[in-house]
Amino acid sequence: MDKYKLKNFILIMLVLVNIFLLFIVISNEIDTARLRKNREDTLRQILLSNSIELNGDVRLDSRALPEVTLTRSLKSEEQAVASLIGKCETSDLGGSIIYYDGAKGAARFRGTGEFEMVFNPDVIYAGSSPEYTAADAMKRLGFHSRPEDAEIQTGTEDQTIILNLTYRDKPVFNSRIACYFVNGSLNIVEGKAFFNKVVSKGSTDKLPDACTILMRFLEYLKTNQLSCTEITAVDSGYFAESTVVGECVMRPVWRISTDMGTFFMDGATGLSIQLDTRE
Amino acid sequence: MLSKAQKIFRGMETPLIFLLLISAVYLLLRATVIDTSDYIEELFSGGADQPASSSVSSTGIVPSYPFAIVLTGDDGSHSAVKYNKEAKQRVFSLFSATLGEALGSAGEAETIKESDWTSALEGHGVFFDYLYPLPLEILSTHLGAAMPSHADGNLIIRRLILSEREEKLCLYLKDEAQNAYYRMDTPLNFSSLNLSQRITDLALPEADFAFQRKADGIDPCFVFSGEDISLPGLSSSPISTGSDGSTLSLSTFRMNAGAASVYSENDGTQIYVEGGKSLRVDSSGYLLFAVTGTGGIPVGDSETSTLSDRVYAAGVLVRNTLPTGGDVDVGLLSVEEAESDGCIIYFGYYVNGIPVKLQNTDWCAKVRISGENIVRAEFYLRSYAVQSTFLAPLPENHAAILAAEEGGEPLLVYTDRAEDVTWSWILN
Repeated sequence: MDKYKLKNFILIMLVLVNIFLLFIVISNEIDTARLRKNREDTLRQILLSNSIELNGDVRLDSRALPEVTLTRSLKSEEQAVASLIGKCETSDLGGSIIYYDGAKGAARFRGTGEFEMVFNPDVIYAGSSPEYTAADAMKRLGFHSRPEDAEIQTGTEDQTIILNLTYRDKPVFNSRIACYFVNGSLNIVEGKAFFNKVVSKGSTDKLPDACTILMRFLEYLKTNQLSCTEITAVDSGYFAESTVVGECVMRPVWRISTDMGTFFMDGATGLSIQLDTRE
Repeated sequence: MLSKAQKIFRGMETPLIFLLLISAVYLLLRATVIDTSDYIEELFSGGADQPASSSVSSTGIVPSYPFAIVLTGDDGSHSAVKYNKEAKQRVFSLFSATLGEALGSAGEAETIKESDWTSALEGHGVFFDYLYPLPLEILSTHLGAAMPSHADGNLIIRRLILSEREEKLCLYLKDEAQNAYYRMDTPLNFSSLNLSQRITDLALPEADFAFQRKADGIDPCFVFSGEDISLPGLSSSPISTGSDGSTLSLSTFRMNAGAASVYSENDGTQIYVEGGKSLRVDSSGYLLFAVTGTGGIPVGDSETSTLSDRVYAAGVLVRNTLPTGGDVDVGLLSVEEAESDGCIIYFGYYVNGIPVKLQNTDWCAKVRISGENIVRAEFYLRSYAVQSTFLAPLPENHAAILAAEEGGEPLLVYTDRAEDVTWSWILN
């Protein structure tokens, strides 16, 4: 057979296979969406029968997040710090506490993810949007945040920006960084972050989804004789937990915001947990 | 003659086939309900990195958490967790990394009086009781921190306090081998513990120490935890390795199943022999690995191993041999020096955080290291299943009264009597 005819034949076959597979994929997606909607409707009815309204803006299609174990990379940490305070000398204070001394400031990073940085005056100017300046500085350290969600406290000569960090675009509920601006320039940064090097990543196969989590939440309310009338938000995120120096576990967590307060549910077990959201 | 359009089409045929092939593979993966987003993400991130280094904790062995933790507020009130495994893990997770940092950054050990130790117990801080005395180096490595060169990692420690001194975090230690007390300063601020807030959040039961109750005859550091003790019932059975050794992985002992000779004794005992190595497994779940001559299971790659390396290697062997997971843990009991360049490392079972005493021994695994090799290891392979019933042990106060007559420290354990498992208060 002419090689061009053969190619044409293969091409036509592949187009047909693609059309067939696309049809299956779209059918699956439609079925999944229909099933999800049925589950959500049922959940809303169950919640309503318990006098709890699920706010119409609440989206329940968030996926369960995997548990991720992170470890500290001193090399990348030093590079990131140097990008802000210039080439620096490092001193190991023991216990995985590293002190960085640079031309533009100094920093101390701990094996628990906590850190402090002090900048010389006029190194990083606040600009017109200090929250974006602070978020950009943190990005250079390898920490992502949403500057539009930052808390801003303004004094006469100073301004404090509190950034909530995110990991893979998901909020880390106990990672908050305070950035203090004095006379228009960044002076001190301190808070609790996490590490960047992935050691292991768990599976999400058998983790409860948002609907299951809300059912567990309902059980929790009943068991503990608590009540609320409206669920205003359901967010999946992480809780950064350091139990060993230099290692950090990103634990999947669901945050349920209600008119009676905020509750956290463990993303793996679906049980209520009390998070240590210290700052 | 081909038209220009035909020429262009022919030129695009091969890349088009390639693209359609990729598209078909992607759609096939999607159609078979595989979530492709994770695969694509890992493809571009290069997958998970390998751990930078192995800490002892990664074996899942060693005391993963202390037996008792006491939190003392700035008003001197104590609260503790001792018998509730989940609560203990949660409390320890809040302080373990700081404890590791404190050990790793500690200054020189300063000898103090017993009264200073007692004052630290009563003062604002966190007290950890690991139950079994261990070299300080092991505790430190387990928490991810290397002991500083000036610190004595050979101190045999069971109890530690994270305390406050001039607003800084300092460590108080008791060396069980010499019955001496030490204080070590750290560069950390005491406020990093965020202790007062955490005490409020955790709301643990009130507790006190035996010396505060003036309980004569009881170890003064014994903690009356104030918890309601409710132990789940337990059943146990020996783990049979099967006549073909099917549940046993000879490769754990660096033996080759294909090359090893197998002998059976009349009582069902299986013996595997390969070169100087032998593995003897009897029907009661007792397993003995022994090496004659030189060799064995190497402790590590380096020529001279540290104590932590040895415990790590023994821990890996134990983890790969004994059944753990769920409610069952294996913890390090002690490290004993042997010969000129050897040591014996003992491990014990814990169920729900409570130690298990076997019929004839306190340990479930005993690993002997000589030079740079594991040359002998003994195991009791037991399987534990938690039952729906609950046991109601004698309260701590009553146990303490009984213990005071003989002196010492009452310790609640599960007693595995082969035919059943029950609770006992024993003198530690």
